[in-house]
Amino acid sequence: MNADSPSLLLASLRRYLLGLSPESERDQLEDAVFSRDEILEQIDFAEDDLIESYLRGNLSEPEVSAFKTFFLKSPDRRRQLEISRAMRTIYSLRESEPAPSRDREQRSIWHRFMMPVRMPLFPAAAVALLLLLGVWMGSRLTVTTRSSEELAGLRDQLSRTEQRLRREQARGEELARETERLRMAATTKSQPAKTSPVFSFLLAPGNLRDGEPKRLAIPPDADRLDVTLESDIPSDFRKFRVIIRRSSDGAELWSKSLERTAISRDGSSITVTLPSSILPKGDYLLTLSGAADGKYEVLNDYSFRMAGK
Amino acid sequence: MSPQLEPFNRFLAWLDPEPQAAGKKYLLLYRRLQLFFHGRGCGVDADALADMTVDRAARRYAAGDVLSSDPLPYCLAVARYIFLEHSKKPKAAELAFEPAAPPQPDDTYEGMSPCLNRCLRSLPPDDEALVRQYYEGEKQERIRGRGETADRVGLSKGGLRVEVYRIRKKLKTCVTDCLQRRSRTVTFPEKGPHHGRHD
Repeated sequence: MNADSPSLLLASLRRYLLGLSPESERDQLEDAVFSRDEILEQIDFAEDDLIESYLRGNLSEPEVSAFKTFFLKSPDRRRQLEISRAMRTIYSLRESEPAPSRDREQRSIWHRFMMPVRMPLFPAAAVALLLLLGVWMGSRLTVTTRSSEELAGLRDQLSRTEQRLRREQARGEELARETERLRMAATTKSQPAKTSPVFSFLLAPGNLRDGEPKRLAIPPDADRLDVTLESDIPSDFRKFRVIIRRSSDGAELWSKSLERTAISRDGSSITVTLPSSILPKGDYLLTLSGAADGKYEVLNDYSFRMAGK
Repeated sequence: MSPQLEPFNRFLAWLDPEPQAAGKKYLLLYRRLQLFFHGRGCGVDADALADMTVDRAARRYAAGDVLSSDPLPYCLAVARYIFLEHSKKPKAAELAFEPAAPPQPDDTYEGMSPCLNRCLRSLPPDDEALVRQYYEGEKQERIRGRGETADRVGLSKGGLRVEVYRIRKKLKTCVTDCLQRRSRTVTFPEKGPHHGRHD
């Protein structure tokens, strides 16, 4: 084995992985594998490089044959090959779509920033946004004379600002839902006609605060609950299932099937409506599952505590 | 401590007296043994032979038959011996020329694309952009494209390969974990008795 240069080592590892090393070279490599930790990383790299070379058609005929009959005998390597192949397929499909330019990314961030401003009950966040943008714009005017250290500080400040705005946006959305709920409750009271009041709340995966589940109190007249479940929902999932279990004994109390129409526009949450009567005071576990191809997979679990009506 | 576990635990302590470090060293040893047996063309038998090596080395060590102070060279010696035994079996010769097994359902594009898509989405934006540019550059103009991508991201061509390898490795771990989670599938009866209410 010649490890003097990285390319010679890579060539030597490649022969080893393909079972094409002369016996002496193979023995030396085995000794190296059992004495140096760093060679394991180099072998991982050589495996990956070999797979890429195969997929690009860069292997010679004997190498292709050894690749198929020797290298791919390992199930791990077969999976690795399929992952690399699938990545190529995915990117070749995406190539027809225009790649998001920095301009488009900025525009989408701008749209995300602007969304809360269009929402009701959000003046404070809007003022904060304008103030922060003002500070940032002011800094930008003199940015050419700043040192790179100051620029890094500004970027850091901007990133913190973005995070703060996102938090404000989430809070704004919650306020808007609360407003809507109050408006609906007010409408319900003013209308003598028989309606079923709906109470909405948002659950994040896990939702344990200091080891305790999120506590929910619902108005006594709320017949139904709109539960919005935060989840990173895969775009290829078509069907969903929500199951509510009692935490104390795991007994299944209620379940519902959902379609993609229940997902929010940005794919970050899904809403399910359930009768409040199934949830007396107590702790519950809600499981959201989804399926792309008929096989349901657990996406998230949510814990919450009903404080009673 | 059960009689089977005792030699193994003593073997782990030989790898490192600190249990967590011993666990990590054991995983590295196992990877080394897999490489050894794959390198010798043992194919589908590689994992079983790696297990056999650990088992034999552990039993010998627990019995006080090992003079070596370093477990790695000792395990290599045991692995070589076990390979000799294995190669004497007629079946071994047949296995050496056995074609690779067909991929499992989860290892096909259709099987893994939901997981892969999800893992790609979970990549940091810079990593995702780099991988995208890497593959796009490759299709457009193999060498020139990758050179251009490398220039654009301020890396040498070799550096770019290493970066993309690092990301693919991360993806492989993510996809493998995701496929394992997917195997924790939930079956819902279409009809029939149901303990709770279904809307």
